[in-house]
Amino acid sequence: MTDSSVPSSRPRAERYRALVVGALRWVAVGAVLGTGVSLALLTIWSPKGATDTAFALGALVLGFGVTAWSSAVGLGRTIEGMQERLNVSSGWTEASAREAFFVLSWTGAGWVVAAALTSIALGV
Amino acid sequence: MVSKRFIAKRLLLLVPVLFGVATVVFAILHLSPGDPALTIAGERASQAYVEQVRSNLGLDDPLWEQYVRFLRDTAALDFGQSYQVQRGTAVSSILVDRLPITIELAILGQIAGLLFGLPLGILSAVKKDTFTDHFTRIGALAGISVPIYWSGPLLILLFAQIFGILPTSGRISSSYFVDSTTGLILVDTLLEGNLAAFESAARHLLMPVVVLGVYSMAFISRMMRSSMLEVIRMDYMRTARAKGQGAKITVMKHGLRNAFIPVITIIGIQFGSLLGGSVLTETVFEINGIGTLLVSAIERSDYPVVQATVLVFAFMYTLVNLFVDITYSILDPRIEQ
Repeated sequence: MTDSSVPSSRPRAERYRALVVGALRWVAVGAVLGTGVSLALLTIWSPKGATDTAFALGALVLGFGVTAWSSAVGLGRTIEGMQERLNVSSGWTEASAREAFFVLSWTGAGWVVAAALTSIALGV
Repeated sequence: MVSKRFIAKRLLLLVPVLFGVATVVFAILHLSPGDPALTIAGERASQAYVEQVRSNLGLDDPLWEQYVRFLRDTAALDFGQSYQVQRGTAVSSILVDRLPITIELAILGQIAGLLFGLPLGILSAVKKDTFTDHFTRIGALAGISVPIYWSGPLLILLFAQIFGILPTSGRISSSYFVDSTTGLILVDTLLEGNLAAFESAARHLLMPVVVLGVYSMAFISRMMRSSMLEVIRMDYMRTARAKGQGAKITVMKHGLRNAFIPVITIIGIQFGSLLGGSVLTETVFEINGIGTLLVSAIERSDYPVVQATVLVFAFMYTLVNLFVDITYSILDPRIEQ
């Protein structure tokens, strides 16, 4: 469940609940990825190198997701209009972009937290 | 009238944008090759000294600790000190010196783009499928396609080397000394009442502004043409002409405002290209703005300067888009809903 797939006609509390559940699900996916990447990199690098690289990769996902999500919210309608006027519509919509970057942002958040916790657990 | 709620919502979006940009820049800098400690210590420094420099900069801490520290300092607008570009100087003070230079260039580029792009777009739409239209469209396509790193040196070669009528680089001739009041060289020379210095600054800025403005002009004229063509076909335009109003007055009085609405949003979006373009333009024309600062900071692994510069770019871009949104909602109040 992601933000744009939650119908806005639902009661507000239910909508927020669905958003939180969706976010938690992607945080969990991110946490698995963050831990997995940290442990995989441990086989070739020192604990610091491995967890730092895993953290930086997760931060990249998080940062890209958040920037793109907020750009979609702020400029999405404009970009839709521009595509329409220039006759270059590629099927990109503000809602689909928000949904995709919601997933990416929360996955990135789970990833960086997991990488940081792995770093602490390894005593870096 | 634009509602406060609308502006507050737009301002609130600044937070995730800046957080996201700060996080991406932090991640990219730490994933890319290059060791700031080694750059500062020098290639011939002992390993112990390099480690000491790394420890002093806090670069030996786990990355998540460095990230938390970076976010905390950035939130307090403390960008730290430059490692290399101007070693030991506060990054914020470097930015204050360099920012007006880039702002002046970007604004002049935008003005040039608007001054030429809007009339060309209107002309192209009004004279659809004529020689003027084809010529303008080809010109716009060329303007969008030609990269700055090609058009810049080409103009230098033509107007500075061959014809010798314009200077190759810098912002003003070295024979003039102008006190930096606003940091904008054209404004400062006027404030001093030094017309000869103003002329020199204008001549120095002409080529960079043209190079930067061409892309903007091409994009605006393309959008203006398409928007105007749509408006021209509207019933109210036909009615105005049927009532005996002249074609020129109909276009200027009824068409322009409506056709201008979508173009305004494009101006905001392509301001990002203008900022990106200023990095290349400043490098080609040796102008010491924030663009050249960014390039030299990346080359020297000067993390604080790179991070702060990119954040300033993101901030400026978001602010311009906020301004554009407000203008848009004044011209078309439906947008707020």
